[in-house]
Amino acid sequence: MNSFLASDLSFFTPFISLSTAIAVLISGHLARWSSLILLSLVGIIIACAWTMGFYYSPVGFKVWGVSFDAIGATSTQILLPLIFIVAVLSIDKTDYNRKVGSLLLVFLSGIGALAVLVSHHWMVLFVAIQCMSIPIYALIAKDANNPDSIKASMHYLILSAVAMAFMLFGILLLYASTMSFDFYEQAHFLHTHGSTSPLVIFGLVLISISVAFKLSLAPFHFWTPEVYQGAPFSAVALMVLIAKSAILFVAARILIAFSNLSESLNALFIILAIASMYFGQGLMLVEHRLLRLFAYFSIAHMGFLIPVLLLKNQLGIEALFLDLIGFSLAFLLIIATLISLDKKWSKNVVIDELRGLAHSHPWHARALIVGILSLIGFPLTAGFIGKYAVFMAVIDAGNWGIVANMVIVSFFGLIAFIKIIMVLFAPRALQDTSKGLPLGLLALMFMILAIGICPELIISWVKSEAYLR
Amino acid sequence: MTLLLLLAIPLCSGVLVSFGKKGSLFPKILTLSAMVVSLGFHLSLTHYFSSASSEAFVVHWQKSWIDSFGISFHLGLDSLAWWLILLSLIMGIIASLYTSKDHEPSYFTAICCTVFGTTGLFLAIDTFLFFIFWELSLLPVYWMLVRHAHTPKNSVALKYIVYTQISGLILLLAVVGLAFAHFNVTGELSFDYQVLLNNKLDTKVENFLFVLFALAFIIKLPLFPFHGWLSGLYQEAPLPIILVGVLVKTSVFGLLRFSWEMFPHASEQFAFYLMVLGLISIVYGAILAFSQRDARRLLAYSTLSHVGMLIIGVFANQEAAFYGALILVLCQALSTGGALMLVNQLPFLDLRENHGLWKKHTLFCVGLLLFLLAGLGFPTFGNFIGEWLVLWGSFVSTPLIAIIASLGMVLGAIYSLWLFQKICWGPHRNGPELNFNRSQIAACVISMGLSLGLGFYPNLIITAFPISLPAEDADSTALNLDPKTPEQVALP
Repeated sequence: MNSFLASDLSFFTPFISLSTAIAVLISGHLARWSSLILLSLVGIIIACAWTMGFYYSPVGFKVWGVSFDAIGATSTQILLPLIFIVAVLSIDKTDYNRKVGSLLLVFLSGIGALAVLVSHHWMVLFVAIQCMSIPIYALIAKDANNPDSIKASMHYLILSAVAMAFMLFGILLLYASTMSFDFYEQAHFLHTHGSTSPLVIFGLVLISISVAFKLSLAPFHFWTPEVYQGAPFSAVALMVLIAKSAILFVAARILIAFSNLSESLNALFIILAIASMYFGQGLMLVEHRLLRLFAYFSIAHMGFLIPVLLLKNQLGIEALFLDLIGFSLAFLLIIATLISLDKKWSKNVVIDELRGLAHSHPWHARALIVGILSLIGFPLTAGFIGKYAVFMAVIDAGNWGIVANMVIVSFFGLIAFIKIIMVLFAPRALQDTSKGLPLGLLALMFMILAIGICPELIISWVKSEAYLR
Repeated sequence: MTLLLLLAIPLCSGVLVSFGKKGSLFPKILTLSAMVVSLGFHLSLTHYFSSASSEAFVVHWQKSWIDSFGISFHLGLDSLAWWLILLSLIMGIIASLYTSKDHEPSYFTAICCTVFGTTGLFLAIDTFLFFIFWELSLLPVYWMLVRHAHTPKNSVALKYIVYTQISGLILLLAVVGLAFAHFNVTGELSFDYQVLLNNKLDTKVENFLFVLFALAFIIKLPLFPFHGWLSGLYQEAPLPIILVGVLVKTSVFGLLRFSWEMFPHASEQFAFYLMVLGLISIVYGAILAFSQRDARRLLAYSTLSHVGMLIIGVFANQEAAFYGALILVLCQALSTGGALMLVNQLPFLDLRENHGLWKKHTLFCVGLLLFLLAGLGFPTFGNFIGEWLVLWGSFVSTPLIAIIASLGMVLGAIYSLWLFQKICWGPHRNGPELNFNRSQIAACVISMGLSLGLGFYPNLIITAFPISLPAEDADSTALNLDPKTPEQVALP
């Protein structure tokens, strides 16, 4: 481990900036001075921009159980802007107290997510995951008058706690057999001493289960639709885009660290992945509630990414990043469009509430269509590049069986999404006054198309030889 | 650069058109003039073919696009592409003439975009680009189905989208698989058609990839087991001429590109099975056509029957059959498209009873008769030449298939004339009012004229731009390409 220098503190910039934002917000909360919110947001933007440049030449650097390696750097670069956008989305226009509160919670959760991304020590990881999750419980229950939200929050809290208990137990079992909490030290120990000990296997299986829960892989996915439906849109975005991605990226690091050992877990994960694909996309077909549909899609999406994760090679990691960029942009666009519609949703958020949107809000409908096409992976959208990279990585590894499953399954999702598009175009007697699209959404839409047309923009950014070091 | 213009003109006019006002003449005129300008421009490209160069692609345009994946924006023109682009431009002209100006401007945008997508598809040398244009050429059709269908029946659009997306995804897998198979052999990741052409693939890999490609194309064609989307689409789509004229052709083009040249061994191995599928399509399509109650559905299934003949032409591996297939591609689009343009003006007519339109709408009936005759392969129409060449070519390689396939001409006569009989003959009733405006009549006359023209001068195609044939043993029916003595084309 390198000796810690003052200059190395700069690696912690994202954390420092987010913490400062929180501090500013708390003081702002006390002073009821709303421009402080703006200030904190501006601070995040500057931090994002600065970190982008800083992280561009990643150096392997480990201190205090966190390592700023290439995977950590790229994933931080992806998640920081996402945290920022989700924070903006979560601002409640009506209530000042809640406005500050939800911003605070998103930033707090963001710090946890960033810590998850760079951790290489089980205890740091555990604490980081908790730090990421606990604000989410509160965010889900933001609307205290809505019993569904409270229910969803409790649901998530209890199940999440159980899953984390599994993880803790697994970590301790691993510690008992290797006397270390560090991924790399453990892997090294197991490599030199042989790894067939049942304690180790059991520990890894327990950890895998908790990770599968966090990623909502089938059959640990039952909480997802319930929770998403009860949660406000911004909390859904936070869970799908930040919490899940963070866990996925750290899973990539764990798998690479344990690459000698994890072969035995491959079969388990492949089964989970294929089950998730079929469960997720299959249930999308019969779902008529919007948020549940997205929940099922996110389950299936994780199912798509797990085989790529298990490849543990250059192409696989790059595909993971590319796909998550495309997916996140598309999902953000959809969620943001739904929020900016600013309408009174029914309790279930049924798809039919969007009927005829193409006539009443043409630009919102266009944004939704671009987002949906990108989620499907239609060419010339950002989503396609990700899907393409995923297929390329899996085909490169010669897993045609998995490819065949992916192909079959993606049609279920296709049908479900095309149905939404058709609902948008369905005739409707009521003609609302047309409402323009906020500039940010327009920019997001443009970005999805721009990345789709010139994918070299993100490919050259994501491409790095350093991931497997 | 010249090739880029062919893409840019329809695309730009499509964008411009969408700003037009509903009911004004501007969208129609702009679309039409864009098509005519592209056509003139396209005709001027012929001078590239005159120089006797050995290269298949006479004009190139390349720009790096996604370097990390070995993908470039590579366009090129060969004689096959030239003919099919010509067809799609003519179809664009006919479609924009036929469309009434009262349609929404987005309707004309869809026409422009279809022409743009298919032109790009025919020009793409990079296989990945080919895939992108493949998907792009479908978007306008989705748009028309979702927005402008006759009756807003979602199941039709959904079915069509799912079928075509299945084929698209299979095509993507095939393209990626081909590039990686090539990568594994040579260590060079490239999607360029010309690079991939010289592959030295393992027989097993070659077979697998060929099946993927063929599957993608025959789902979209459609061939026998995959024809589920066909009839509904023809019934619902507002402008089926674009579909017959252009979209079916993209799959034939794909089959021509990715069969004999790319996978010679696999094509040889699977040709028989594909021809059998074609055969089933011919007979089954004809039977289905005969049992329809809606004229548009009948014509849809007649397309299925025609497509079977095309497949036999493509996979007979004889020069005559190739030319026959090419002529058929052009002529079927004109004849079936023409018949659909006429029939589309009719309200739903139950084909179980006679409607007797002859007395009141004689001209309409004559036009319909001519298009139907063209479709069933009546001499003096181009279809006859095409079908005859296909049958002749396939008779040399697989006599049995040719004999059964010739049934298609008989069955075609039965259902076509039956359709004509039901619509035109019988006691006169208070039938529908038929309103054809001048430009619609012009569209029909153009299709008819071209169909007749190709029937009288098939050599226009056969001699002007010889197709480079990959198959070495294809010369048993080699045509005499000397333009001065076309009569020497004789039975073997």
